[in-house]
Amino acid sequence: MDGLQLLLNGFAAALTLNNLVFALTGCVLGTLIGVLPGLGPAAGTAILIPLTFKLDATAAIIMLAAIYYGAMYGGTITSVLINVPGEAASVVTCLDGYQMARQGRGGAALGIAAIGSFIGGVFATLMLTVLALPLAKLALSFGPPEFFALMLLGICLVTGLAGRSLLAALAMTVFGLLLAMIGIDPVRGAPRFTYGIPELLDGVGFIPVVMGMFGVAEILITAESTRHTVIDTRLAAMLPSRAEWKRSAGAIGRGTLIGFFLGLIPGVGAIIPTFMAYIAEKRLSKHPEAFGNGAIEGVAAPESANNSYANASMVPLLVLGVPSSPTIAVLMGAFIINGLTPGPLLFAERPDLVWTVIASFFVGNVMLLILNLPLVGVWASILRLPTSYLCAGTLVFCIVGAYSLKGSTFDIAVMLVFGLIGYVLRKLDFPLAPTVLALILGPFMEKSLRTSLEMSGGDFSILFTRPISATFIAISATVLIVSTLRLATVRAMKQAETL
Amino acid sequence: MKRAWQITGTVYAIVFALWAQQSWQLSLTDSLGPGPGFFPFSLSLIGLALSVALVVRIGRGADLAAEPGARADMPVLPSGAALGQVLLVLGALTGVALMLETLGFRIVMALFCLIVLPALGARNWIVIALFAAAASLGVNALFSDLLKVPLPLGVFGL
Repeated sequence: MDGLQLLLNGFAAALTLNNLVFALTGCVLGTLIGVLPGLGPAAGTAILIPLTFKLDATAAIIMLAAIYYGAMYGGTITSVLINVPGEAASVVTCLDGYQMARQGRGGAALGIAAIGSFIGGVFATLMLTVLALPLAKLALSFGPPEFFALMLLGICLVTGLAGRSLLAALAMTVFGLLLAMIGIDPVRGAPRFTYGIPELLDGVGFIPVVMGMFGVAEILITAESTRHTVIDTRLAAMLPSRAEWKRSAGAIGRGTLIGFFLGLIPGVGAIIPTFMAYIAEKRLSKHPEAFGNGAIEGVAAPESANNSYANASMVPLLVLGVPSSPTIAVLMGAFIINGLTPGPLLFAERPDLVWTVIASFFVGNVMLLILNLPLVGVWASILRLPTSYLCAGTLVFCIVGAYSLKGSTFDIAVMLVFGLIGYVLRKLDFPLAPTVLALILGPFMEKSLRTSLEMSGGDFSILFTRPISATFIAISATVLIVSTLRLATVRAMKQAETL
Repeated sequence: MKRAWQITGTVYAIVFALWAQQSWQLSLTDSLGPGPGFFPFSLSLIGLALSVALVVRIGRGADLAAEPGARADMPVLPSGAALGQVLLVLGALTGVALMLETLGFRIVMALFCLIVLPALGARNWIVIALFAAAASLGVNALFSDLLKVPLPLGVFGL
């Protein structure tokens, strides 16, 4: 059955009332998560996973994916209205979006962001449709050495691009990999590092760790401040003028392409495509001085890149089983909770689920456009709720989320411990993303490596003599070397400045 | 801040060293190839080397601007009222973990909100009480009744 036929079958399933309701619910919840400053998409998606326990796998994944790309749009609202990015990828939108709001053009900024996001999302999903089957067929030829090398590449990309210290990022990666070793050995079935605690036989829960490190830690940082803030927001007309449309068209196209290609690469992170799209637009503009002062291209380009990136980053997850960011790693965790392993085999074993989810991306992007143009005033009003109540509400949902995973307070304790660890490490600027990705990929990496070594009788050269695996390992090494050189250059420049 | 980085790096080094020791006690190899201890032992040694390198690097004081937490003058941990607020939130979460199954979801969530909201800056006790009621009863209804996710009733059956 070819891709088009599979996609049409997917649409037939995605457009059922049941799945439409869940896609809509996911879009609404995702936008809400994006609107709430501090609660990023990773923690927000993790917190909402328990809502999907009683759903079938298809509905659960549809809803969680909708939460993900909904959060990407939701972060724009706070960036424009109050100069506070709702999530990291919306940082760039603050530069011109907030200036537009101050000039009374906030509605136009949000309108062009919604349309740019829609175009970016639909394009990326279209390309996902085109690329999925050929890439999945290629990936089916991968053996354990290739999968190990691919996951190693994914982790090296995330580590190499994370933070200002490669040593710290690598240490965090190793920490995450070791956490993943707790529980039952995936090859021999022997318990490891459980110390007689029965709850640890299933390992350290990925979801409580993410909720702790990204959710609880953020709230602890918020708790340091005694401010009981209420944010005032004002909004006028919603749609851009004809001249603004004309100026935005090219920016949307370029931002979409930049976001899409960077979304295919694991480890790039959502901030990089948005910054690159913004910088590219500024360089191409005939009036670069307008950027930072309310240039509509400064909103259109990063927002298109953002949503294009969000949809494109589903390609490595669905096709290769490699998550490219903590939020995608949470989605991967959701797949695993539902008894599914993302990767090329999923296309072969569950094409109905995969193509329904892909079709739902199209549907979800339409829903986001419809939701966010007329409802932005509603989202803006949520920002008027005091942060104390928003934080308390988030903690309540974190507690319920952690408990409902296995009906055990042990997961609440795990969330608390990692909340404290995440709080301290955030204050010290240690990157947390490598730990989260390593935690989810660790068991797969170990199983692939050990199976590879069993195939070769313990000879590590199997990883270097197979062309695809050797290529991935060479790229991994290059990424780490380039990161080291990049950081050394930055340090040398800073030292020169201080002298 | 520099001391905090060094302490963190040292803690990491100790954790990795202990992990290596525990992994050594698992079999590193067996008749079929690498054993259950192989991967964690190797990783622990790598982690230990990275942590020691980080501590040494910070100790030499070179290139701090590019090291984690480049704002060297920023205190890591809060003090005074801010510290009290953070500890209150942590204490409330600990209380939830310990008492949730004993007292039940509704009672524990209500108490949790009554403690945490003032710690986060809320001052209107009527609104706090209403929020606590909504969080305990409303969330319980959402998860237990609507989503069929069982939540603990506790010894009082609430």
